[in-house]
Amino acid sequence: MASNKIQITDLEFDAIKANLKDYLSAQTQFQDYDFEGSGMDVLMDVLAYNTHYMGYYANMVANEMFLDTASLRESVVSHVKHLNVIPNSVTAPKALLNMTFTPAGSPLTLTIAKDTKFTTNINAVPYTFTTTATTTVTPVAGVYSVTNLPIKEGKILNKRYDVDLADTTQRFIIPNINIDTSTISVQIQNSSSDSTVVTWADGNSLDVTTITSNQKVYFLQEVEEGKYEIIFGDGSVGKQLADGNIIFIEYLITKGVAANKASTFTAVGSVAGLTSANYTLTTASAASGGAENESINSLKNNAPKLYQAQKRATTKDDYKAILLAERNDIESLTVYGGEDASPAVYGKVYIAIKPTGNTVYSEATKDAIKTAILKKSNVVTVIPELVDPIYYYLLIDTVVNYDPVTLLTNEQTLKSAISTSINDYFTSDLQKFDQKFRYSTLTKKIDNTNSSVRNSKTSIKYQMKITPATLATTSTYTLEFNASLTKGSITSTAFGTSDGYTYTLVDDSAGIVKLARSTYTTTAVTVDSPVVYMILADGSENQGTVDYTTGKIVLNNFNPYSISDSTTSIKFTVTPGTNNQDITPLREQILTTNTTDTAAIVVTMVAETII
Amino acid sequence: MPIYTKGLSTHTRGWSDLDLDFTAHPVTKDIVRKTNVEAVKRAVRNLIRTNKYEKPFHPEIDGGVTRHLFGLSTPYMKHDIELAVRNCLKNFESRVIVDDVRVSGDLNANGFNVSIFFTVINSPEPIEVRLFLERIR
Repeated sequence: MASNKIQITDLEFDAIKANLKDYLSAQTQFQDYDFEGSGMDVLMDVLAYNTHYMGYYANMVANEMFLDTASLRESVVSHVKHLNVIPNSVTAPKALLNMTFTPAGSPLTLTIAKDTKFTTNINAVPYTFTTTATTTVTPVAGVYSVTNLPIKEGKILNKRYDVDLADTTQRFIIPNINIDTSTISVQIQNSSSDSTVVTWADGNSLDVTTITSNQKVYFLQEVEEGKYEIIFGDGSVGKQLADGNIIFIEYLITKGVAANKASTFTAVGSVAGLTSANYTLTTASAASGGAENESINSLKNNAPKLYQAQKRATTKDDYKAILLAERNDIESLTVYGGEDASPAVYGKVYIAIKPTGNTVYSEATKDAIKTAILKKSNVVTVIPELVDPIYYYLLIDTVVNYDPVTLLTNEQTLKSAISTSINDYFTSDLQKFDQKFRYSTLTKKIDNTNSSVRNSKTSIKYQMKITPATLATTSTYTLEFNASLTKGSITSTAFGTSDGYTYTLVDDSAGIVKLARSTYTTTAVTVDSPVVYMILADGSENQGTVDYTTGKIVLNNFNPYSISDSTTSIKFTVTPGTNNQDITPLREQILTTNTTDTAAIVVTMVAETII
Repeated sequence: MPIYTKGLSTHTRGWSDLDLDFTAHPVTKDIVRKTNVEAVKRAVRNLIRTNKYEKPFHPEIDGGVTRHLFGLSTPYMKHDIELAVRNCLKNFESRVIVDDVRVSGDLNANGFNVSIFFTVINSPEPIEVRLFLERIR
């Protein structure tokens, strides 16, 4: 409808132009605004494009003004700075080495210099690890050895700045990205004529209210392009720089997560002045802890929580926010109160963490988390307990019916694509805490792999492992599968017992678990026929009980003497009940797949034929 | 596609357009208007010379002739240009009925002479627009 008022609420180009046309239709001077070739149309294009451009620009500016809608990293980092959050930097993987030296003569000590390099390869890609501190080796009973020598992946670099107070725009930016900020060292030399050098401390790790006017501290902040800037005190909070001071910044740049799991190292050149003929080198702990810098999504999610927590761990979310802020090698974590544990334990809070690129933390790391992070922030009467995640391994067996006529590739390629779909489902929907297995979601992904897939029939089993601390010792185990189970579906890998025979665990469909004598080969475990059950010390065959409704299996006085497949754990496999194909992990439980098990994902292809 | 805010009336609606040369009227100092057949002729010229992506967000509005000017001349080129001109006017200039399009190569000037014969829907007189198409960059 003709109008002499311009609508100003539209932002789309076409809508703006239509509004202009509507406005122009109310006048008679220029009638050709409707036609693409007209001069009026060119003019309206310019006007509408300019309006659209400004609208878009204003929209983007408005978006960047708020943490929820900002999309540029610089904007997000700036917003979280107001919440007292410093984004985690990329973290260098750390490995531990054991070395024993045989020097000529008997020197008092040996010195492993800082920046002694070691190389390793992962998938034919070389990585260099380096020592980040000098280590002195003192002989004990004539043996020169060092254990748990830490090395980090990356390269140590240096940057020098001469302080010029006359230059009011001078900034101290470290000209590299991928810096592990935990390795930054800042030293200040008084002047070019006074070579006194003092190491200044990281002010971000201190309580700002305790920093005095003369305290030698620096503050680190992320700035544009993912670089870091070092800021010094103003003489009120922290000591101020003087004209002519020389700043030496040392830091490590790293490739982060890529070098995790590196386990075989070779020294580059000599170590402590000795060649490889004069020392032995073993890996005490493979590289771990490497992580990417904190993502925009992580910052958006965690910064408000961390602000809410105020560095005090009182609620579950407080624990999560503090741990995620302090450590960037956490892939997933869950926190629950002892009252929700099974059985309930009051006065404790349980924290389960799945580290990036690994399944569990070492005991040393768990202790460090408890003492260095949680003890400082949690309520004094509450005891934090770090527990390992419990992994359930899903076994997927699917029969896929496909149409060979519409199949554009070959059967093997389709089979491989279906395996990829299943693995993608694990990556995107499982393998973290509180992520449920949904049967229909998986089957949908299988069916949607390719248009030539006509239907699929998928059966699900899942496994749990127990790892006896000591073999040939009686112990009681409780396995909680948290779902209804199919009667008679329980099986296990083979193990030896006190009578010298090999057994596997089975249930009698009536709630009793027994040990059935079996024959083990590397490919299968077969229950002997006729079935012979092990007679236990009390004269019964009853090894334990199974509750088919809750999925709880209790093994009383279970006493394996050996494990047939030469691993350290026995796997128990069950089939979910027919009415419940979904699986819900609780508390510290995680659903995943065993990538080394060829039976974990089995795809059988059947070409559709019309009879 | 074009967004028309008014129906095309063959009897009551005259055409009047801005002259993109922005010539001032000698007396009133207003911008001179192009009216009726002159406005349509100018629009036809503009359309044929429009390149793909020149119109913001509307790459489909395209004279279609530019791409023919950058290759070696072939026997089919004249026909292709004629077809492009006809399609362009059919799709984007609803005020004209094209009677004929004649394309002839000018080998000495490295270009094509294009003559478009049409009638405007509210005027019975036949109109001819002549264009010389050559590669300029």
